[in-house]
Amino acid sequence: MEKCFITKLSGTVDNDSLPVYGKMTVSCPKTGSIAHNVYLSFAKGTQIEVVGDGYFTDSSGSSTGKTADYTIIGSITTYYLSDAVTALRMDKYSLVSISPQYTNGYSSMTIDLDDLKYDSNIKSVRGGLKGSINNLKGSMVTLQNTEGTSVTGDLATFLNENPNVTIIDLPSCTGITGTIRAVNSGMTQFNVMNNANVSGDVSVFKDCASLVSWNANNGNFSGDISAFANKTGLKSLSLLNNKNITGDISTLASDTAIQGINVSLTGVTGDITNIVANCTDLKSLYIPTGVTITEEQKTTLTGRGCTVGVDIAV
Amino acid sequence: MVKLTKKYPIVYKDKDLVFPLTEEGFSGEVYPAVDAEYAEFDTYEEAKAFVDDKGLSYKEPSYEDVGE
Repeated sequence: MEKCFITKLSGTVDNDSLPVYGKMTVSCPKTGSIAHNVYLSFAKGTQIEVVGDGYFTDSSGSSTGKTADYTIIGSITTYYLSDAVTALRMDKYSLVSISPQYTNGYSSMTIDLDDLKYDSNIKSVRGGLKGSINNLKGSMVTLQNTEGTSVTGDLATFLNENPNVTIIDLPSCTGITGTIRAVNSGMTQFNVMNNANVSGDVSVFKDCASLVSWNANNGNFSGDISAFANKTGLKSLSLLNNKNITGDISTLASDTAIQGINVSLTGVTGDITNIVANCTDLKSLYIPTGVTITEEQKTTLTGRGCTVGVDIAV
Repeated sequence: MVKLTKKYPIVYKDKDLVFPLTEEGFSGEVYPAVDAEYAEFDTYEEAKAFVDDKGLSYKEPSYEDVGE
């Protein structure tokens, strides 16, 4: 090794755009009329800073300054932001969960997953994601992309490396790839719609008894639809345009809470007699021409407030 | 029971579209629920103008809870 000389000079800078050791910056400009709040959780006490304009407020909108403390370790704390805030800086090694306002819709937030590569505490990430999901290893529970489609990575690897994942929400993110061979049996939501780069046999979801919604519209999944039977909490199942999904639609009659079924443009067959009898909360039913439906059944369903579609690409 | 067969069917409840409007349109059949309002068009432009005029939008169903 060549000789080198390292020195350290005291000095300060006031350039907010420079990276800070151990910190990450997330962009969070206010959009629309949704409240400009951020939910954060950390594995230790820490401080969050506003970068640039704006300030933290209390719930009534009064300023509380440019920094805010995180003190109740393990809790999800709501941070209220003034309208002018566009970015926050926070500890990137102890971050447990991060999310913009989402109870009444989503506000804007961009999170670079590359910043979280060495965060062994991270469990939940919601927001506009960029970077690779494969930076997140070990303890992830929730991964939800709420805006943009620039996130990348191998979903199968992510699921293998994060065995406790319960929510995957990556709609239209075609940079996400992989053939899924195993999922957590506690999975509740799975959404990879409009992405044919994710594939797999749906039988891996057979033991997911807590499933609430599953959406791979315009995807590349295969297997028998009976994998989604006996899911008493399942409300929405969308398999539109997955040509290699087959099986008897009547197996879904055991999903008594279901509100939406979309198996249009699939290879699913059978008749809906038992579904009409058991699934009384249905609000939408989209089926391929291979499924038998009578005029009487159409009248019964539409009369209950259920819109029916035959062979349509909804 | 109403049957919609045009390429651009619109079914909505209040301001919410039951399914999204796409430029590709549909080739199948739609039977609107009795408590839904509906319209159908031959062209995307007409359908889009209807949606915009009524202020309709489509929202993906969400079942999440506030939590971690």
